[in-house]
Amino acid sequence: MAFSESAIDIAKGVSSGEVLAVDVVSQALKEIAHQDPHLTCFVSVTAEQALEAARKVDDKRARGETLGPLAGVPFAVKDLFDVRGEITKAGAKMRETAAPASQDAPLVARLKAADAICLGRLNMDEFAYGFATVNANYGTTRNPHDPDRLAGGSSGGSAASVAAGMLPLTLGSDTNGSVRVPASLCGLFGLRPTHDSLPMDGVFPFVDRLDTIGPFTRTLEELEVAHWVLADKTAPPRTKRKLKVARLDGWFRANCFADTLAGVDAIADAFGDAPLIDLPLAGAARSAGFLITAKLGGALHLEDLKTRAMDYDPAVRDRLIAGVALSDSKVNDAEIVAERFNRQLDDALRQYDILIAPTTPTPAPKISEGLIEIDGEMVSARANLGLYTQPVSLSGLPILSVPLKRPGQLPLGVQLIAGHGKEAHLFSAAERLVKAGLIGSDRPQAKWLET
Amino acid sequence: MAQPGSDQNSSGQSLKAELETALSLGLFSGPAIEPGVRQNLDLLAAHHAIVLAAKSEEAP
Repeated sequence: MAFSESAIDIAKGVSSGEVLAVDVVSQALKEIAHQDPHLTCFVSVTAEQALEAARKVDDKRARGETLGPLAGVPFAVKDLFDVRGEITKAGAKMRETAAPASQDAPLVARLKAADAICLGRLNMDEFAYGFATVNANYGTTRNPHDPDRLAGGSSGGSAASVAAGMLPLTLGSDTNGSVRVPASLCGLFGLRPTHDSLPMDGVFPFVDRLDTIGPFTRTLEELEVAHWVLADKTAPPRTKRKLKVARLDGWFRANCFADTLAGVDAIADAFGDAPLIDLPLAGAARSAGFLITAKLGGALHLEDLKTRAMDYDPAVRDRLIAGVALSDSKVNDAEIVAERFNRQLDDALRQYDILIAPTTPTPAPKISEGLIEIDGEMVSARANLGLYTQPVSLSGLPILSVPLKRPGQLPLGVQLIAGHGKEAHLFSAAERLVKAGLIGSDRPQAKWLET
Repeated sequence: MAQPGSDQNSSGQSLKAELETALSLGLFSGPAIEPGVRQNLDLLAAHHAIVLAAKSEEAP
């Protein structure tokens, strides 16, 4: 599998018999063996099972059966999806003794039913609590665009492996931005679908009322195919209507890297007329999301915190304990503010089809520093890279992070936000931006890729 | 709007109550844990101060 080969090309080649799925998978396994020691994306690679599945796909074609839309496409999943026979560790050493999953999560099953082939499990912040993929148990996932920098999180392994070209498709999860943040830092398309639109069975939870899962790809076309397979729906035709677009002001332009704002404005120009609108409660909503996540995330772990707190990654444990201790009245305050903010968003989406905002305030921070500057202070990247993703997560709206086209530079992402169930609007808007040359994934320049 | 930093404490009184809650739940295994939890409680207190200020404003 050459770096340039997309899931679309692979599926076409395998379906037509031009290439064998087993050769595609073998090549992907070679890429993983070559690159992963530099990046720490995978926590496990299931080579034998993958090759066996690939042979079955090739046999199916040899029998004259029609193959699925992801025929022979290698994919991997964040370490919180159930895959039959494997332990779902959710990035936690303390779960290494858990029973293996008895069946695939429905979303994994849907990819396999489309003849995609699972190659392994990907690194994450322990229990998905962080925006960095700095994991005390399985290491720090490095950014393929600069291995001294963070890949983002919590689905960092899912993003970095695709950005490096090890494989074309991965799944992550997004509670407060854990697909969108690493998609931004690694220069990929990453989708947070409408909350509750996909089955979450067999996905280790973090905060049920916010948890979603989403795919990472290097192209929009691949992302669309993967999304409609995951949604078990046929892609609707493109809307012919001109989409009304607005840029989010205030909170979403403060503290933002200048190049990202320039990218947002260039996108606005591409739509002709995209006024700036302010959602005054955005900052408070971000704090509300922080509190709600801490309380509900902590509550999920209460029993384990009481009995085996020292088995957690210390950085995660201390956040969870603080969340458990948070009073109900404070969380109620947060819920009230979240509800008011969601009404502001809904009002905006009654006037506009798409809202645009930066995905992350900065490009990927240095791993050795682990900090970003907000309001003149250096604060934890792990907790704060979701500055712009966290408030809009409360709404359950579908959000697509798209990579600004900037070859040779660190990637930057922009969020496109649409109304509930309007993923097709996101794809229509993104397609226009791809055609305009404003967005697209750039290949990393890392030296080991050339060897 | 001020951004909560990693080591601010804007709500000392309520923080004390929450530390007591954590202790009563048996969530501290020893002194090694306490500084990190305290730091995170400080952060949550700062976020709550922002939420409270917004909530106190007239509903839009």
